[in-house]
Amino acid sequence: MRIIGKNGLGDLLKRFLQVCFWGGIIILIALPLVLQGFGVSLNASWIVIYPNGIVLLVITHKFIELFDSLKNHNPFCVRNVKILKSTGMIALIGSLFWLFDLLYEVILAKSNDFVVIATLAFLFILFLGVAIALDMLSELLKEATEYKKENELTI
Amino acid sequence: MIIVNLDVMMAKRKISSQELADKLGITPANLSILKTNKGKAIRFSTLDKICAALKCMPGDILEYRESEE
Repeated sequence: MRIIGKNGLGDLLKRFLQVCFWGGIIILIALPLVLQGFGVSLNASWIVIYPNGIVLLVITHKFIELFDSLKNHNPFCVRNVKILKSTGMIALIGSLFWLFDLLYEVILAKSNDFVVIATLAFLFILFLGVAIALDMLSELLKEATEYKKENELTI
Repeated sequence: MIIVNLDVMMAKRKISSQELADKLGITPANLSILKTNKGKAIRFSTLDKICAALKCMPGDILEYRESEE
């Protein structure tokens, strides 16, 4: 299966992410109302759900922009370098949110729930890893973009 | 820095850009990149074709000038 170009894997992934993006927005907006309908209150959970939900939405939107360039047969461009760099920064902010949530659970809420603490610690490490990986990828793409430009200007 | 004096040789040989591009098998846009010194590098094969088309030596096309930096 083709990766780049119209109806390629990149294009399909873009469409899937668009569905996730709009689904995520609807869930974030509707969640308090739905929970209210079931008689459940969000309480302090909104601290976890909303900042991290927004971070995930922004990352999803950035990846939609990235996969959009695959459709146009132009993955090696400065725009994609900037997208990967900013997505890495957003993932780093996301990891800080998870760290904040973890510290809140351990220090302020004095939680003994191992599953919650382990999940928050895992998400913190996961987002930190993603941030580092995206930053490295942006540097690689930057190099590739420069090589491509040099190759194009070699007659 | 290396300066490409292709336009000078083209004027001497009275050859148009389109004609030379056709002889070299490159696009007029790529030839323009060479002529305007915007190119990053030139392949030996291209240089060979240019010399053959313009009946000249590489030194007639390429010139070294000290950078003004």
